[in-house]
Amino acid sequence: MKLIFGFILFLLTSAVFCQNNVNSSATVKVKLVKSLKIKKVKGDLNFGEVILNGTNQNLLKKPDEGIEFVILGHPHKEAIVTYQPALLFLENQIDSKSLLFMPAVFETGDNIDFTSPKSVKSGSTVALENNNGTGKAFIWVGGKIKVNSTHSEGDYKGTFTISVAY
Amino acid sequence: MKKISFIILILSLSLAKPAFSQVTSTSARGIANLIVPLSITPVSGDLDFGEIILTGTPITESILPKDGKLFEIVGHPNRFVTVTFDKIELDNSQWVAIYGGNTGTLIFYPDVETDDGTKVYSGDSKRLIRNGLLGKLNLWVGGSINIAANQPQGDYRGLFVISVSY
Repeated sequence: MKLIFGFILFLLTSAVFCQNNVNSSATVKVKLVKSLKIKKVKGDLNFGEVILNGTNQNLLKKPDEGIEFVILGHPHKEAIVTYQPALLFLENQIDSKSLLFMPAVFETGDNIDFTSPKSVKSGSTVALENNNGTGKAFIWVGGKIKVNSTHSEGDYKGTFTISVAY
Repeated sequence: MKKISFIILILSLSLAKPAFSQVTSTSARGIANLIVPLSITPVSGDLDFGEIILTGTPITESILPKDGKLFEIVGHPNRFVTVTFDKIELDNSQWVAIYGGNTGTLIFYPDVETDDGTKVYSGDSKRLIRNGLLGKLNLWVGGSINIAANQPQGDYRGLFVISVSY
C-alpha cells in the first residue's frame, strides 16, 4: 500500500517538474536617422548692376527671387538652421569699404513653391515634413545690401553660408 | 482491493509519459525534493540603441551588458539552470508602413554577462546562488548591431527572448 502511495506521489511531483522552462523578453530598439543634406534648387543672390548716384541706396532681393534650397533629412525631425550676414568685398581687394549682405530667410515646408512662407531666424528650427520616407523643407534666401555714397565702383563678391543640423 | 488496483493502474497509464520524461532528472534528488519554481523577470534597463544618424559608412553600435537590460533568475538554491537565447532580427516595417521608404533588417547579437562580468553563452549552465530560501542569478544583457552603409532609415524593433530551465 505504501508503495502505491509513493508511486502516486511520484507521479504528482513529476507533473510539477514539467514547469521547468521559463522565459522573459525585451524589445530591442534603434532609430536610424537619415543624415541631413541641404541642396540648392534654383536661383542666385546676384543683385545685378547698380549705378552709383552719390546717395545711399538699399538694394533688395525678395526671397522668392533669391535662392531656393531644399533640406533633406529624417521625416518629422527638426533641423536647426543657422546663417550669418555675409561681407562682400571688391574683387581682389579686401578693404574697409565692403558691403554687408543681410539675409532674409524663409521656409515653405515641403512646398516647392513660395506659398505661405514663414520667417526663419538663425538658430531656429525647421520641421522636415514627410515625403515618402524622406523629410523635406524648402528654404528661401533673399536679403538686402546697403550701398553708401562713398562706396567704390567695382564687382563685390562674398560667400553666404547656411548650415543645418539636428 | 482489485478495484483500487485497477484505478491505480489506469492512473499510472494515463500519466506514464510525463513521468518517464522526468525520471532521469528527478530521481537523483529524490521525490521529496520540491523545487522552487523557476522564474526570470526583467528588473531594470532597456535594449534601446537610441538615435543613430546614418553616415553612409558601415558602423557597429553596441550596448554593454551593464548598460543594457538586467534579468533576475529566481529558483532553487544551488541548482543549475540552462540559459538559452539567440540573435534576433530587427526590422523597420512598422515605420515604413507609416512614413514610406525602404524596409530593412538588422541583426542584434546579444552579449550576456553575470554580475561578475563572466560571459554567458547560450546553452551554458549556471548555478543559482543561495539567497535565503531562494537561488538567484542576475543576467545582464547588452549586444551589438551592424549598420550597413546603405541601411534604410526608420525605427527598427525586435523581440529578444531569454529562457532558463532546470
